[in-house]
Formats: sequence, structure tokens, C-alpha cells
Amino acid sequence: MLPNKEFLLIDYLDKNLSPEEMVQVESMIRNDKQLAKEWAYLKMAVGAVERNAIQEQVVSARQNFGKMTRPATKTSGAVVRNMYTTALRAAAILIVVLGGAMFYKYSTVNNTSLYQQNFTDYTLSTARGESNQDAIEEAYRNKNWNAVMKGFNQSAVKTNEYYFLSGMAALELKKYPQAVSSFEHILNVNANSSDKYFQDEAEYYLALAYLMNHQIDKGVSMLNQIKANKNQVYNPLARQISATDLKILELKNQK
Amino acid sequence: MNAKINFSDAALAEAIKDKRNLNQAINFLYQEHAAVTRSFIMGRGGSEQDADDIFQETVISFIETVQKGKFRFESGIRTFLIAISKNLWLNELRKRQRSDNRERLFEIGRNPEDPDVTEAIVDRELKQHLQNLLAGLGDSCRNILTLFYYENLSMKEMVAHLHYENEQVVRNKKYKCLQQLTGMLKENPVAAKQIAELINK
Repeated sequence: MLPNKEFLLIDYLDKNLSPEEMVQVESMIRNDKQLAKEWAYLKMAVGAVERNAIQEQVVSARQNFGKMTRPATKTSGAVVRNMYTTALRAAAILIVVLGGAMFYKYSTVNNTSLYQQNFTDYTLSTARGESNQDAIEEAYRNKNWNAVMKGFNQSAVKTNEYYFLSGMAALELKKYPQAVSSFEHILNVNANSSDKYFQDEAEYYLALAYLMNHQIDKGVSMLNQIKANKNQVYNPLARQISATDLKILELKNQK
Repeated sequence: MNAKINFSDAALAEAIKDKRNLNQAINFLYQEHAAVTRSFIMGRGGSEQDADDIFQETVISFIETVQKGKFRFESGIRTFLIAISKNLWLNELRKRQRSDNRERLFEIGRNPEDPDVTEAIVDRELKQHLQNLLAGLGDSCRNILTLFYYENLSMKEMVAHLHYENEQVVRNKKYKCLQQLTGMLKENPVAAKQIAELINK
């Protein structure tokens, strides 16, 4: 290809031509196979550059983001077991021991045991190098639950994130009615918005808060919803709660 | 350092599209949505590394989809991101062909309620081709082409940014870099074909 034609194409690509010249080059591309091929390669080259630039930006963000927000199982000794298998085994033993194991199971499952087994810390991300730390987030990271509550109450702007963090702080402080209120607020806001910030998180922790707030039916119902929804971020955790345990909880609640 | 910005879905898409607040938008995507896909992937046989890699690729695919004007708010951004991640992870599981993956593939499956993200998914092979191509171009050329074609800097701004003598020097350098890149594409028809498909998606 003649260099001047290549220059012309690049000027066309860079939009450095007059409107008349642009039309001329468009016509040339349509009618000249060689030129059309060259034009296709130029577009590919720019496409590759753009894709690479996006990739570099995202990789950089990933590196800066560092440790991401993730639920980590609490190390308080609460072992998450597959209770369904345990329940099946217990049923087999039941044939021999009859009521003993059933009684034991029935007597040990309660709202507190389910809560303790399934409560996981919610770890806020630490964006390395971010200078303007948010006071509520900072207090949350430092596990200063009272400061989180205070910051939340004093904050003029209350985002879903703040409601969520205040709910988590309330859980940590065993202020279950307040936790329920904060998480319910998020669900109410999201119900009327296309944005669903902290929806999955609020659902899971609200279910646990309901259990401790003696709203057993609501808690069990919400946990069953999460267990049924594979796209719910806490679905893997909720699925580890045995249906038997939830049933026992419901039965005890009906008494 | 960037101030933390809270974006609505619409504002986030706008920031990605016009690129003005792209860094903040990407950070926001990580802050708000990384945990979701992370848990999703790790709950379905993926390691932490898998989860991070899949989310990185999800963000790239989402940005491209938005910048091409193909994100039409038929679902929320979180739902769309999960659908992309799910597809990417399905593809990855298929490639690994481990025996225990069959169950997972069935488990993840495709939900008819998932948004259609076919256009957003990019083959891993293509990613590799792109990386090799741009690495072969060299830092200087990659920088010049990125500043001009991605950051949309003017020649004048590029002179200041890159400390070249004048605009003509930068113009000539850019021309040579573009020539070099198209030359590399011509020598690698497989990569060229895949990149063309990506651009035309």
C-alpha cells in the first residue's frame, strides 16, 4: 500500500480530515478491497489497544483493592457441619436408641445455637493507599461497634452501606431489634429502587437477627428463601444450615 | 488519592461510558460487587485465585459492554455481573474437565431468568493473544497508542505528557507504532480474526 494512502486512512481514523475528505475516504474504503483490508487492520489495532488499556486499569484496581470484602467464618469454634447427614445418621441410631438421640437433637437446637453456628464476620475491604477513610468504615474495621452506631446516628447521609454496618454493629452488641430495623430498612429501600446495594448481605444477616429477636418464623422463612436462590451471595452459607434444624426451631416456636 | 464515590447503577454506567471517572467506577465495582461473585465462585468449586481472576475478567467484559452501548439496563448491574461471572466460570470448569466438575456444571446450569451476557463473554485464548500482542509492541508504543486512542489526549497534551520535542515527532512516532501493531496483526491471522470478532461483537 502506498504510504500516502496509509496516512490518509490514519487521518480518517483520527478524524483529522474535513467532512468532504471523510466522505471521500469512506467511498474509497467501500470500493477498494485492499484499502478496506488495511482499514480493518487499523480498527483491530485500536481495538486491541483499548482492550489492553481497560485490562491494565482493572488489574491496577484489583491490586489496589487488595483484600476484598468477604465473609470469613468466625474462629469462635463454631463448626459448620452438614447437619443433614448428621440427622440421617441420628435417625439410624434412633432405631436402636429410639428417643434418646432425638431428644438430644431436639434439646440442643435453638435460635442461639443456629445463630452462633452460622454467624460469620463481615470483613470490610481495605483499599490500600486510600487516604480519605470513612469514619464509620474505619470504626467498623477496628471493631469499635459503639463508634459505628454513634457515627451512623450522627451521619446526615445514611447509605445502604451505613445501614448495613450499623446493623452488623448492633448484632455484635447483641442489640437485635436495632439490627433487624437496620437490615429491614435496606430491603425496604431496595424494594423501591433498581439498585440493590447490600441486598444479599442484609437478607442473610436479617434472617439471623430475626432468630435472635425471637421472630423465628420470619428468620426461618428468609433462610429458606436464601437456600433456594443460587444467585444469592450467601446461598452457600445458608445451604449449610440443615432443614431439620430449621424445622426443630419452627416446632419449638409453635409451642 | 481518589475520593470514594457512591454510584447509582445509571451513574456507574455513565461513568464507565464517558471514561471521565472510570477509575472510581472500577473501584466502586470492586467495593460493591466483588464479594458477590467471589462467594458465588468459591461456593462452586473455585479457589480464591479463581474468584479474583473471574471477577477481574467480569469487570473488563462489563466495561466493554457498557462502552459499546450494549448494556441496556434489562437487569441491574449486580445481576448482570453475576451472570457474566457464572458464564465465565462455566467456561472455565468445562476447560478444566475435572471429573467432579460435571456435577457443578449441572448445579450452576443456566437459569432462564439470567440476563443474556453472550456478547460480553470473551474467550480466554483471545485475552492471551491480546496480551502477547501488546507486550510485543513495547512500552513506548503501547503508551503512545493508549494515550491517543484510549485516553483521547490531543497531540499537544501528549507532547507535554511524554516530553517529546514537538507534535510532529509524536505524530510520526504514533504512525510508526500503529504500523508496527497492524504489521503484527497481519503476521498473526488467528489473533487478528479473534480481535476482529471482539470488536464486532
